[in-house]
Amino acid sequence: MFGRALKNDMKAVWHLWWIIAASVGGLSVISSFVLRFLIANADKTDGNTLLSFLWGAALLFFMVSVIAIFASTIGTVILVLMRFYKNFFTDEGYLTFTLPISRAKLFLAKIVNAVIWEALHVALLAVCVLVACLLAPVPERGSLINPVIYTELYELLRVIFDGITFEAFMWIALYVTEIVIMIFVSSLISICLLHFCITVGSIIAKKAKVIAGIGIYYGINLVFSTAISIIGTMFMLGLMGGFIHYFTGIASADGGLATVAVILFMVIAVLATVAVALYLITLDLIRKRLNLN
Amino acid sequence: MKRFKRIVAIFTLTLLLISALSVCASAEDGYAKWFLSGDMQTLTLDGEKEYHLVYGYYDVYLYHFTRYVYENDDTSIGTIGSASKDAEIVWIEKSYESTYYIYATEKGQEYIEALSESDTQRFRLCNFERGSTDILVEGLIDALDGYAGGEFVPTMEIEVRELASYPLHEVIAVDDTDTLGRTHGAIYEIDGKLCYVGYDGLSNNYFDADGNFSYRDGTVTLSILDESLVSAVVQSFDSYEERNIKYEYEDNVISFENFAASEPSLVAFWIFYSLIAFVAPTPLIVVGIVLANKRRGGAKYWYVLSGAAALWLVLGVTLALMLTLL
Repeated sequence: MFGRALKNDMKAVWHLWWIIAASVGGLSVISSFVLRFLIANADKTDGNTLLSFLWGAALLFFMVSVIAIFASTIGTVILVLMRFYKNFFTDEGYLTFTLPISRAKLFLAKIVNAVIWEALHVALLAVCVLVACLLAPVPERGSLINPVIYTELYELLRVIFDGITFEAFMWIALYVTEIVIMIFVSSLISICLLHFCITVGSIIAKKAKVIAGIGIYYGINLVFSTAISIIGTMFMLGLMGGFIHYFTGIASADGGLATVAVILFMVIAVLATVAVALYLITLDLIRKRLNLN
Repeated sequence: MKRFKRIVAIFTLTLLLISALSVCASAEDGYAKWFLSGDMQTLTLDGEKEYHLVYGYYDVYLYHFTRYVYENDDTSIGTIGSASKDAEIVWIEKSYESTYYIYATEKGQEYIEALSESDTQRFRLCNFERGSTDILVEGLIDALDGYAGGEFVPTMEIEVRELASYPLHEVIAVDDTDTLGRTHGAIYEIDGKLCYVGYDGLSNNYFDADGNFSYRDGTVTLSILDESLVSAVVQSFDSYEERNIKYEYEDNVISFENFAASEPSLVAFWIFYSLIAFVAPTPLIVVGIVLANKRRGGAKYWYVLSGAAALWLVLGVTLALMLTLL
């Protein structure tokens, strides 16, 4: 039943998400060619009024396109949260909670749905950047594309990794893995926080529940950022000197590298605990406090 | 359930006690306690005597003919040396650097300034093979400097490259604490004669970029010493003795306790670290276990919270051990 619930959630988001994806993809292709125009004509605008005007307009279009492409992430988030809100906190919720599946699994399906769509959107943005890197550079005469960025990147990686020992490679791989996990867990916190705010807004407010949820989200962010800036600064000042003292005293390079790895693991554990706590509090509210009357 | 709550309470209190103990750590008595400020500007001995980092004085060198050395387990800091037990000038020698960091009290700073302005009355003769002398025969340097400026003094002009091959006795002006010195002049043994050159009278062309006398190119005029000065100088030669003696206190190397970039920050570090690594996850472990037992249905989810918080705690302990033991 969990699989089916997840599938339904994904289908519900897909109905509109494909429009966002197609728009972003199309816009990235167009803006890549615009960028190619900008690069090719950057030094030809002197004395040519028409070309200067076109170049300026193209630059403006390119900048707006880039902002729109990266801001499209908000569209995905809105689609996911609307699915959550409608499915749990509106009249549709009556049907949802009659399904032969526990509220815990329903909520888990929502979170997994959010994670998948966020990951897909990040993948979409990555593809857009890769396409831009292929289409934007001005090609040689008679060619359609110029893969110069890819060849330069390959050369750079080759130079970096040339002569690198297996041990160094493993350390790099470990750090990259830890950073990727950290980014994933951080986004999980963000997703759980959004769901928590929507849930609290729906429980507390009788009308305008979504606006209440958005207000709670901004309120929590304000409190968090103020607390982090005050307490965090104190902690950092207190911790930084000590870490530097002990770190510089570590005798072996392997010891230092292992210490950094453990620090990153600990940060992941802290973030994971926060994400789990947010998830469980939200689940508890859904199970105990939700009243759809 | 009551027994379980009691065990959890004892566990939490133990962790709080461990974190409180980190504040109470204190140094062993009986050893000199050196404190170096985080910006390396101030060095303090036993919380009383303050030395400040000395800048400038390009032509003043460290001439530690005698060394009292405080070893340090923390090799990133280095060793502290001084020319006497209760010195006004000390230096830090780092293990992997060729630079010495000179620190002086206010009094020590005055000695350094006097040395730099050639206002010192203490001199040594220094020979690479024979060591260095104690204070020279009184008035000898004044006599040598006065003689070299005289009108009918016999002189000889010689290529500096040829001069490099003759035995050299450097005249070192030292500060009142015998820590720092600057080369004042040199006596050469040339074909049975003693010849003197005072460096203060020479132009910059005779010295290299580091302020040392250059034997690369050019000629220099030396004053050939007469009988009375020769006998005074030879008398000083007789008091040459080996130097560079290193003294260690009480037959043992004194290791630094609390020789840290900043001791107070270590206490603050352990307080904050204990709060983040030990105190913060503990109530989450407790809450997770309690709610998992209390709630009907879906209890396993709360164990996930306890598990994540327990992992946080374990990694905190591991990191603390790595920082202190590695």
